Amino acid sequence: MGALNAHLVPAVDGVAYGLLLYVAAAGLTLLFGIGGVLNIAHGTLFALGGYLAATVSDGSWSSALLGLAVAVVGGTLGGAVLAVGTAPLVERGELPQALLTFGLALVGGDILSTVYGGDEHPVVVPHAVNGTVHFFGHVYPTYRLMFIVIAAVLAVAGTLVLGRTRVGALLRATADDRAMVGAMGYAPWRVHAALCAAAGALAGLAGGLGAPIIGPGPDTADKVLMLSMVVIVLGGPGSVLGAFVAAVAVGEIETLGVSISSDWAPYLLFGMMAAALIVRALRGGLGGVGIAMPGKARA
Amino acid sequence: MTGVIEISGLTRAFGATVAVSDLDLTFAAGGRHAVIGPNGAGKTTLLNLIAGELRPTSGRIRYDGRDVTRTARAKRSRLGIARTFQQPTVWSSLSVADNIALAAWPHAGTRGTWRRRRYRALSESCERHLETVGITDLADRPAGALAHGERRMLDIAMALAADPRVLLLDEPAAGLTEQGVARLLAAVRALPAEVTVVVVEHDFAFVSAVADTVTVLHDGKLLATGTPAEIAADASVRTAYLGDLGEPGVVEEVR
Amino acid sequence: MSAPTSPVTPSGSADPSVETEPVMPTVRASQTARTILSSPRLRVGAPATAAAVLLLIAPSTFDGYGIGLLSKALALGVLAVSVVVLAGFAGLPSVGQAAPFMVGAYTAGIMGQHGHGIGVVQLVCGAGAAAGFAAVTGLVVIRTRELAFLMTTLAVGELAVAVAGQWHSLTGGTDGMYGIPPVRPVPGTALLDSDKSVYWYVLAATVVVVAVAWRVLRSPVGKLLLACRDHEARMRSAGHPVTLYQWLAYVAAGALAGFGGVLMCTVNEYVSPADGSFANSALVLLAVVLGGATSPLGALLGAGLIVATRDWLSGPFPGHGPLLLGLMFIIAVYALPNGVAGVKVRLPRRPGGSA
Repeated sequence: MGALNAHLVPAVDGVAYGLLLYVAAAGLTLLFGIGGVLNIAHGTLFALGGYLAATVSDGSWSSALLGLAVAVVGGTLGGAVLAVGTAPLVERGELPQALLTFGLALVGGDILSTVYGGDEHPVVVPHAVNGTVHFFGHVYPTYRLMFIVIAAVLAVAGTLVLGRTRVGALLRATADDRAMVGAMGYAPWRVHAALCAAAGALAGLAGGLGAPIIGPGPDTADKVLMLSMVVIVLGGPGSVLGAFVAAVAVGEIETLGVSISSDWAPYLLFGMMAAALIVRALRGGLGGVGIAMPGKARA
Repeated sequence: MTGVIEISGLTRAFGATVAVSDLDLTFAAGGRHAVIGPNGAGKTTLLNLIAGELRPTSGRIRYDGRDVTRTARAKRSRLGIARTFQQPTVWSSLSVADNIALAAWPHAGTRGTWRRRRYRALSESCERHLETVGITDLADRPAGALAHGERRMLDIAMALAADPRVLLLDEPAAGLTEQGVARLLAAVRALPAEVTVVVVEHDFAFVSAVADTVTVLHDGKLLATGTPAEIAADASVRTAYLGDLGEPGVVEEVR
Repeated sequence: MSAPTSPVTPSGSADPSVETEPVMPTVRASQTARTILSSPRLRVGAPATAAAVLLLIAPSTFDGYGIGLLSKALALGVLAVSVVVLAGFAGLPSVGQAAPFMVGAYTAGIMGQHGHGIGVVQLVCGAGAAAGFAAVTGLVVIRTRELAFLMTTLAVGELAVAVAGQWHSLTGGTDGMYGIPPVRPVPGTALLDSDKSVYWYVLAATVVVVAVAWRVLRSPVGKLLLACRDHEARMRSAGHPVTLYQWLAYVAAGALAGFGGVLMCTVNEYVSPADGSFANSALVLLAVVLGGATSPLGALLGAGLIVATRDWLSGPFPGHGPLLLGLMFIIAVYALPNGVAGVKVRLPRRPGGSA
């Protein structure tokens, strides 16, 4: 019972961390699953959102909101750059697009480190939630509780949009078959641009919102990209529920797992990923794109 | 009757569309068989199932007395089932001669083809197939630069180079010039008598010239079997064709 | 590679080495029959001669730092050649090829620290260990295609890096392995304790292994791989065990990468998980894009260009190597569609060209 108690705080941290990863991974999976772009610059967009929010915030509510807005706008603009950059490459397949996003990530990372330096930027959360709350005899930062609520609302809202709305239906149809959008009368370049912008906005939002948890720093971009990738691989591309479960699981491993056994937690994370890959490979590929034969007309 | 290919209860569905439905068929060894039918009758699907490009939803396929229903595509090819494609596909960055040699490779029965000398010998032994289809002068041309008709001829030569026991031809005459069709006919007639040929074709004149047995498919089911003359006279076959006229096939598109 | 006029240099100086430039003006842009096998000797000749001259006179003209960079470029070049095998020929553009490279490097490092300091033995063991790594991971990787292949190779690479960072007792953890003693090329020879001697050793090893790779790729084996790349389903239809070929190519490329990793360890006398990073994998992909997807020599030149950009051209702008590399990536993707197209071969041919 005592051991359980000692791990309560990291366990709740894990939920916060997991929800953050869910929001962060959403942007990556949107572009990966629907736009067909493996966006290596995703972590950079997250970091951009974090830096922007950190710069604007000064401890007041208005600055926090402004910071979020700036982060979203910054992420969206970053997404727009991606859209402009990848649009001419769509016909040339996945690899040129992935390489381009890597180039953009290098350039973006260099700009960020030039502007913000090599140190982590602490974010000033609004004073009202800068304190702690007590529950079950534990002390817990108020901001994180608030974050859990906000991220949960975002997650539920996103899931509802995807599951219940026309836009969501279009997105799901497109994920199954990318030729669908054209068939439904939407200009493909518009859909591509909208996807890039939305993915950028989500990355920026996650960066701004999550700045107090994964603070913007030189390692942020890589870390977020990798963890988002793990979430997608574990959850299975295109699976909303899978991504959610995977995100929380990864969050718990990164917090609760590390607090229980810091030696083994990383193995657990990547062991799970390896297991997921093996299972999917045996079943015939990831998310249906597995054994697609080249040259086969998709009639 | 013993057949080199025996199909029983064969069904293949694509979602709600049943392309081949509970089909029982036997192709006699050494026969010249044609499979005809309106668009969407399941002809190409049938070839794909025999060749192993597709797995059946249910049913069995026996080849030469052994069950090959779950045998992989490449293995079936090595057992002696070769085919051509409706949309002929070639290895575009390699030369025509290389395409033929690579098609012959798994069937050549020699080891060490990866050595330059053995490969060259194999390539030389394949020149006759180029001659058969009349593209000898294209041997050094990159296959990707061929015109459609030439590509189809190459595809046929590649199937011949596999030294098949069963040769599946998917609309081989489509898009060929008269001269090309004549060459194709000659090539099929020149095949050893023990080779079984199954040809899917729309052109009934070609079918009559090649086949001794014609099988008519309609909606994935067997409609009639007989000699070309019998089939031409069959009333139910005509109804099937006329009744479906103008209705575009769905399944035909799925190779 | 003289004037530091950064962005123009990559595309400009790489062009002559691109074997896949239109040899036949009439070919359609999509399914080209770029004649990789017709060996345009002239086109390869000029840059190859220039590179050979540079490599031979380098030790007497460059300082220690420059020679070290050149050695690094050669080691990275061997890794790039492994990507040529995999991406250019087999049509499997791995984005985790630095992982077997790292396995080779660690093998050499561990051997060196345990007193096994014979270079040739390290090369054989490193290549063998990396081949073993590729043999196991290949079972999973080979089954995926397109986006899933990118994702899976990336995941496998990161997995390897994570394990290297955690396995303190073997690898020294994230800090890496320091002070790996210099090697003797073969028993009875002198220790390679100077930049120059290391350079000659690395150059000799690189020439040998790249020559072997080149010869194999020009043999019927190369044709098999190209055919799998061009049209995998047709290969299966013809009776070829395609999955086996691809797995063997993956293992062979792994061995090559491991060979490069051993050389890198000899040059740096230091190994860390960073050697296996995605950045390394992406850099060699860029090298292959710059050099033309099916040209081992081009890949070597591309690797040289990248190391020069990252560690040498960036001299006037300290800390901005990534910026230059990033620009290089962006320019290469747009300016060298043939290079990239040669790598990106698994794009399904969509008849209508829809997105």
